[in-house]
Amino acid sequence: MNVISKYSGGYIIEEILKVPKTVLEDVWDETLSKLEDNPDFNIDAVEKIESMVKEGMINSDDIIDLLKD
Amino acid sequence: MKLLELEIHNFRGIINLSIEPRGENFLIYGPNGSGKSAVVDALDFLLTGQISRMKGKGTKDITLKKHGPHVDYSAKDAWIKANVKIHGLEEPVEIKRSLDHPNKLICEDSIRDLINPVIELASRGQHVLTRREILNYVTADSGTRGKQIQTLLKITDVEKTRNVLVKVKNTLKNNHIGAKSSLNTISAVINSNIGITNYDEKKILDFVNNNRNVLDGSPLQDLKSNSIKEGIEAQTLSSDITVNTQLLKIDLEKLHEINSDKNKESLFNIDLELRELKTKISSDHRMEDALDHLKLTRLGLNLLGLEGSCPLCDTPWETGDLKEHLKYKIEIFKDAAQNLDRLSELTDELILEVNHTLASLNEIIKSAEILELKEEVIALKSWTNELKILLSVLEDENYPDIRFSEEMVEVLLAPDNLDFILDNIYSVAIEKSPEPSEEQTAWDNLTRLEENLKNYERSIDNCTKSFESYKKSEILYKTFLESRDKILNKLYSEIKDRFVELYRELHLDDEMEFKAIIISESAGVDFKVDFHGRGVNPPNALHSEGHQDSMGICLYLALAERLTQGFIDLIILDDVMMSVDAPHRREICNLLANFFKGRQFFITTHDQTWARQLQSEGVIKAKNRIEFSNWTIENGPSVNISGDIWDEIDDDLERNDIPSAAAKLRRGSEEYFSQVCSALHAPVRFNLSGQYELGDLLSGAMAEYRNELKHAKEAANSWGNTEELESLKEIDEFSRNVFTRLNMERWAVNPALHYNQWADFTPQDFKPVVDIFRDLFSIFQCDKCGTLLHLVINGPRPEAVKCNCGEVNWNLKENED
Repeated sequence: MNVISKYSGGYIIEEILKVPKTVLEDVWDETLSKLEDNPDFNIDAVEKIESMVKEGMINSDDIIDLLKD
Repeated sequence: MKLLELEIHNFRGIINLSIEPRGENFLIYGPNGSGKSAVVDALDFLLTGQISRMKGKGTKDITLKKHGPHVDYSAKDAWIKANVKIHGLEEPVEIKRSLDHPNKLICEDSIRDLINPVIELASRGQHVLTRREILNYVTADSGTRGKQIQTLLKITDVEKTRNVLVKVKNTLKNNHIGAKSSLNTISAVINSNIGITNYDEKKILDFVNNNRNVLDGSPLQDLKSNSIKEGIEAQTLSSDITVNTQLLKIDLEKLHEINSDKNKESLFNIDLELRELKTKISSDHRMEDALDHLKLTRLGLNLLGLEGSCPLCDTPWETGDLKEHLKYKIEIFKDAAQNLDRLSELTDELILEVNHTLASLNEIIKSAEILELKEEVIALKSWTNELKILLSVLEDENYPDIRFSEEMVEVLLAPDNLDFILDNIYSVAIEKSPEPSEEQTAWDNLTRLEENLKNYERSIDNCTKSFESYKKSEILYKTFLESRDKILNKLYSEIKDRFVELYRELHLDDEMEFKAIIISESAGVDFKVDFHGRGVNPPNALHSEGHQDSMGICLYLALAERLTQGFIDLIILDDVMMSVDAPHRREICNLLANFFKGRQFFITTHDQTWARQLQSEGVIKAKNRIEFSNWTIENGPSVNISGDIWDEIDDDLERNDIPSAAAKLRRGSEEYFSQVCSALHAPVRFNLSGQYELGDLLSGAMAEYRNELKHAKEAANSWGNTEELESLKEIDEFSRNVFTRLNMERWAVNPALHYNQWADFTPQDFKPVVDIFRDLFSIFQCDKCGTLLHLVINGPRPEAVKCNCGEVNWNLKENED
């Protein structure tokens, strides 16, 4: 639950309840965690995919370029 | 988050609208086109900065700024404002969004950190269910149902990502196929240079070592382009305008061979068979279709993923079933397969010939350029270009092509004066170039091979890399699918029990033992439901549309509850009720009222019965229902705020407005007693128009009430339940008193309500009429939950009269012992 205190100028929010991840974010988390243990994928590639996922910029061309590296 | 107040200004079809749901369930009722969905759009826009209906398929030319505001206003004049209640904060907060800055939510800075998670969650749209989504789900066929369920559950982004990964996988696979093809071409060139049929490293190494031997080089153990000239002395031609005539002669002889009868006959036969086979296939549509099917089936078998779904349409199959099916189909296409394989062999033979010719041509053109034979270079380059076109036609399976006749192909498109050109090149070459030494030829052989080997090594490298990328894409895809199945199955497992609980509650009378299976599979969801204990089947196999409708709603409610918990208590149901029958609608009301405590439903509907039921079953309070009608472009919808009619009538009486009070009482009574008669199954004189007089409704309701009360007393007596009997007697006494008063005051009731003679009434005259009706209304509903008393029928006779909360529960079954 959020922890909120009020003062004369408004509210002080001391702790924010985190938004639950989307189903897709959960799927990517699981995927990336499995890829980290896969010898065919180096950590650099996994981190780059993770960065694309975080930015919401998953597109086929970028992934193709990444996998070609 | 709950919605307390909403204000809409110049948005879509609405000019000005203010409503006050106060955090409670809220209903907008009105015919199609009255502006209901504009309110849902306004809420959508306020929370997300977008209008979902204006995105996606068929909305190419629709823009938020142009089509979001009312048609007579600009974006800067269109805004939505709301007071909302957020978890953990006592006071309501105001949020506002304007169409001229759709991405900016206007609110007090100090609550921004608190509201942002709510807005972020709202952007996922999981709090809204629309009629379109339910309709798509109900009408989906077996092939698309999985996708429609994902749409219903708002998790289509998972499927979109899967499609991106499929594209990645297929692109990289095609790249790898292309790299393999290049490797085959360069292998063919090397084989042609060396004079061997198949690429053989040992034979090539022997060729290298023989030439190195001529140049006093030590033999090599490994074949590498960068070492084949290692340790040997470079040989140079006497000048820059000389060529190795010995190698040139070999290349020229290869091209001269094209015009030989033997070669012509061989090519003619290949080409003839290829053309005849193509003609045979194209003249037989069944064969042509069979070949297309065969190609597709072979490709499908090749692309078949581990999960077993169809790679073309993504239809899910049981693991292994599709593979067996495709193999069976290939078996039936046996004749087609023979033709296809022969076609492929003949095409490959022609491709090989073209590649060999191109390899020799390439070397001859280099010599002709050194010898500055411009016309010959132009002619040979033109031929090269023609051959490349033929090659692409062959590789793309578009052969035969009208550009290439039989006569042209039997000489591989060679120009008519080929022999003359070649002879001329050779004459000039021997004229300008001395006879090369054995060492020079050996050196030139190695130089030529060095270049081709470099290309070969590059091709090998490309092939290896393309295979690695393709392999990675397969792993990425497979891992994503495994992860998706794990996450979705966990989610489905969590919502399945709730879904079954809700569905059973809706269908207590016919599907008490209902079960369901929801599993992530292939491109969608494997969703199967039990049908009366006769096994599980897809929902559209045996269940009616009405049952499927309620399944869709239950599935959505179970998921929305799970995914928005703790952030958004508001659930919007935009005209979702369609083919569910009246008794089950009542059960849906019961679900909304009793299974989602703490949630706020914002409901729109064009269905009057459903609107009434929502009110009579206690989902919607009278004051939280508004009615839209008579929409006009200038004014938007006319809004009738129902509210609590007693407060409104009291206000009218205070203002001495008897006409208004009488109209409200009459209209409210007609609506109320329509619902009472429906709930009690009261007999009312039938009218084909469906328009009933209040008198008919009152008589039916009162008669049925008395009748069931009488049965309830008899039943209590038969069971010796004196306490119940006493309670029923009290109720009876009160109701008799009200009914008697109603009869006594009928002289005032009838003219006031029926004949519009209220002009002669004072507030003092009319007040007793209002009081009687207030008491009369109270007889037919529960004091505690406010829902109407309804008859419970199980079998031929009514079993009980109940309210929704159980506070009222008259047993009607007598003790038969």
